[in-house]
Amino acid sequence: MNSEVPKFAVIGRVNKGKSSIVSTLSEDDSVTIDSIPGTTRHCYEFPFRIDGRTLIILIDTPGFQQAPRALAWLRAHEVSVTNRREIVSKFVQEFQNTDEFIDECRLLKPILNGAGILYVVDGAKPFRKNYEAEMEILRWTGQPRMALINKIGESDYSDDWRPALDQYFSVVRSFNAHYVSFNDRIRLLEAFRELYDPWRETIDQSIRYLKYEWERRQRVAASLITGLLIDELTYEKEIAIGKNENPDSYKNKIEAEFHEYLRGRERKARVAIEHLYQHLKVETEEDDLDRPIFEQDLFAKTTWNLLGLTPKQLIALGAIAGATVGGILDASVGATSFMMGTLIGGTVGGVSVLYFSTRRFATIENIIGVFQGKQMVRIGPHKNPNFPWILLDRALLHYKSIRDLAHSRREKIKLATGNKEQRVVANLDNYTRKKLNRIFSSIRKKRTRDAMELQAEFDTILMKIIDDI
Amino acid sequence: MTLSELIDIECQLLIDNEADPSELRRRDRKIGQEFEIQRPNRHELFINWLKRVHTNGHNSPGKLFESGYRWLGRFLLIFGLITGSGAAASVLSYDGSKPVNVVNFLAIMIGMQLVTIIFFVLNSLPSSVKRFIPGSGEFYNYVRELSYLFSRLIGKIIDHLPARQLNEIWTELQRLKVRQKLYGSIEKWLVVSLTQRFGLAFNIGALATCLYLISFSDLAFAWNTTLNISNQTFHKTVCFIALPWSSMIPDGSPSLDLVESSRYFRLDDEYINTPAETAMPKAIVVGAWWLFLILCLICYGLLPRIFIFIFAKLKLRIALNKIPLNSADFESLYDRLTRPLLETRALDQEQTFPINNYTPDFKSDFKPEGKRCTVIKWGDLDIEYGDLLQHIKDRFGWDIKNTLVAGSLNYEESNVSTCEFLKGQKEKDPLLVLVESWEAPDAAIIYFFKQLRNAISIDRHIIVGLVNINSVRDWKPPSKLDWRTWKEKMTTLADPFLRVESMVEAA
Repeated sequence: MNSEVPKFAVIGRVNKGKSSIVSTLSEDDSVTIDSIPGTTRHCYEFPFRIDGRTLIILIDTPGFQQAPRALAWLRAHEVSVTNRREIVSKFVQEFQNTDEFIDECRLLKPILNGAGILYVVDGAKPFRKNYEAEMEILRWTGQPRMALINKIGESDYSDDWRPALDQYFSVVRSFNAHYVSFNDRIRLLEAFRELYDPWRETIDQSIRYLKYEWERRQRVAASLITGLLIDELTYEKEIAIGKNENPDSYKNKIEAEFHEYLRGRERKARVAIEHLYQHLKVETEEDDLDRPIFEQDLFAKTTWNLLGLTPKQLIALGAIAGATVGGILDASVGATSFMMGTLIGGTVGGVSVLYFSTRRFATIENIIGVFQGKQMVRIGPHKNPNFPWILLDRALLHYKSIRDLAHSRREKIKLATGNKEQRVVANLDNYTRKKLNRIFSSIRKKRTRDAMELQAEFDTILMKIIDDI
Repeated sequence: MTLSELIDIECQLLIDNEADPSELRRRDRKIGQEFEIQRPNRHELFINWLKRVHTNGHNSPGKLFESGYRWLGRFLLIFGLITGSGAAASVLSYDGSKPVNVVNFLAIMIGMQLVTIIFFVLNSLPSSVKRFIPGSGEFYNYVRELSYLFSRLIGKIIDHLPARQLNEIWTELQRLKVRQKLYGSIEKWLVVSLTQRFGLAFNIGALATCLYLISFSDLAFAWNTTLNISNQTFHKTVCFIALPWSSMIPDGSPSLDLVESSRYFRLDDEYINTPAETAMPKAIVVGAWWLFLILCLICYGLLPRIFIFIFAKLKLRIALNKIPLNSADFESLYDRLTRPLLETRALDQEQTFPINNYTPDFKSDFKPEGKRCTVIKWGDLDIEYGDLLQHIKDRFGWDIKNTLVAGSLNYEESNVSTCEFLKGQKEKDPLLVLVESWEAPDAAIIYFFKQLRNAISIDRHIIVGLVNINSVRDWKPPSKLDWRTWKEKMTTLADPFLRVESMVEAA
């Protein structure tokens, strides 16, 4: 008897990562995962719903606790191999309202109601013969079965497990719930199809929707990052002060507020990306020393040393931009300038990059005007040529960690620190870098007339970068 | 799509920017599903969406704008009627001393209107055509200069506001500027239909006043100009002006006689050709222009205004229906409405239990007594006898008296047999139950210890030895977490003669 909606009960001994697998597959970071055994005491359903219509149900179950003893009871009541499923039902009926075999009864119930079996073992721990007791009980239920070798530690005993699992399960797969890519999840769902033919179509449909959703998330993420960069690159703050007041006395306040806004805006975009990928409980490190690069303060010195473009790349981009302008001048005078325009433009571009690169923090500018007896003091937009690259690098690194973060992981997310190779933007090809540089410069000039096209172009480039990282 | 709907959609999108994205997706997808069968186009879908999310219909920004626009239209209508009527009254003012100058009437009531219509037509031409019209570039440069000056003026006014308000306005302006590209054509036809409403009212007012003055007063018309224009030239000009109606209404086109007899010189304060010299009586001569003037007003004032007004309304409707609605916000909304909503999280929140963070002391104070022990290997523990003996000796100084098994695949052959074997024994040597530390203590081992205690004396020591052998067969201390887990679980047995020990002491 199999249910119409494919159901998969995730079964295994206590503390073997059942909840981790459920959490990762259902993208639910609210699932209680603890190294203390027996955290899951009841069955919890995780329906895979499309517009409220359930396609697949995953069931997190309590672990097997007394499989050998339960198997002994079943064997004692066996009449023939044909009635094994009935014996398992009888076992559940017998003990379901008693103090014995509480967890076994709870986990067997959904299986007897038609759920397929995803049996989870810890591949980092050696196989022991007594595991065969639970495998045998599961075989007795006659339900479609698949085994997942989940590795919780560093050792690998997968080869010990496989011969045993192959005897009891039609499909055996390795699946690391903590480090799993989107493609791994799809491959696992594809394996589900093999278990029971009538479920194939529904599972195929689920896979299609999942891919569709993944593509949507990438697009939205690209758009969120674009919005963040446009806001941060064009943000300026103005305050009105008395005509005779010294702007310098407001310097610290306005600069702090300006930078706090930029930090806040970045945080907002990050939360949006985290929520997009269903990470509602991502914890961030507060410790200064151990913070990963993208988690360090936007204006921290290490951030600026390690992210964005290298000084060489920046100067090259500045020189190219300057030389382009100079080249246009040369062309307009029919090259009678002996290419001096290109030369001077390139030099000016490179030198200006050098000059502005020294400013990690934006500072207040001169008084921009006096109105109604008040002075207007302005700060921003941030002029450092590396600023957009650092922002983009941070956004992409954060995006990548969130996208690849399994929902079963509860620790604070980290990247390897101190490694310059982790830069995303520095490793982009020259063509993309130039295109981005042109977009950044247009954004900074606030060419709002072209904002829609600009944003669309930026989105397209980002989509490609996101796809590649 | 109406203007009010467009504004309301924009406002709602602005509000939604601050809302929780997952909530928005849920809300919008639900709405999108309601209309899936009808397969509405993009515009219809957004309108239907607006009707669902917008509960405050009457006071919505769109409705407010629409009502403001309507009131402005009404105001311009009244203002147009008054100014048109006033203009006609002043142009046709006749106190009996000086006749009404037909040239003056044509210049003010028709000429000026024609100039504005020509500008409108030029402006409506596609830019590819416009660039071939001489002077149009300069003209638009002047307009641009004017609008620049106007924006400077607005800027000056805005600059008087406090900095906070300035920033808010700046943000809104940025948003408007971005949107201008999208809604530029709507703005244009919105303004044109307003101005044409005024123009229409102006002409109606002027026409009504003209008809009134002509009907209820005794007007005398004449034509005069400082320019040296002959009667024939003037006659040709008025005939040309009267071309549209001359075939249908011959009286509406002034004759050469009328032109000649109604020429007036202010210096002499008299008509050049007195009525006696013409075939027409004086009273008829001075009043005969009225039909021509009325028809001029209708043909060159009223009808073009009606046409442009209808055209502008039509263009506005077309512009509203043709807005691409493909900005990032709209794309995102369309996405939310049409893309299936995928949800995978649990429906019921899992029940959580408080977790004790206490970690028992890792160091052992156990002082082993005796020389031998009985070993019970739990759960098919795979250790060679020699290795086992060596480690027990090193750790506790014991020899192995017996080796038994429990927790194996075969329950009867392990747990039951072991308990049977130990039952009734008088020996007091400790029982060393070896378990793999990483295997969580489960109900099976708890049940076994209860069975075991029933089988042996109440004060016989049971030592739970935590074994942790790595992949290269090295014996290691258990992890702190495993240590804590076993300690805590065994405490639940409340057995004073049962203790947990690591088989390798922690450093």
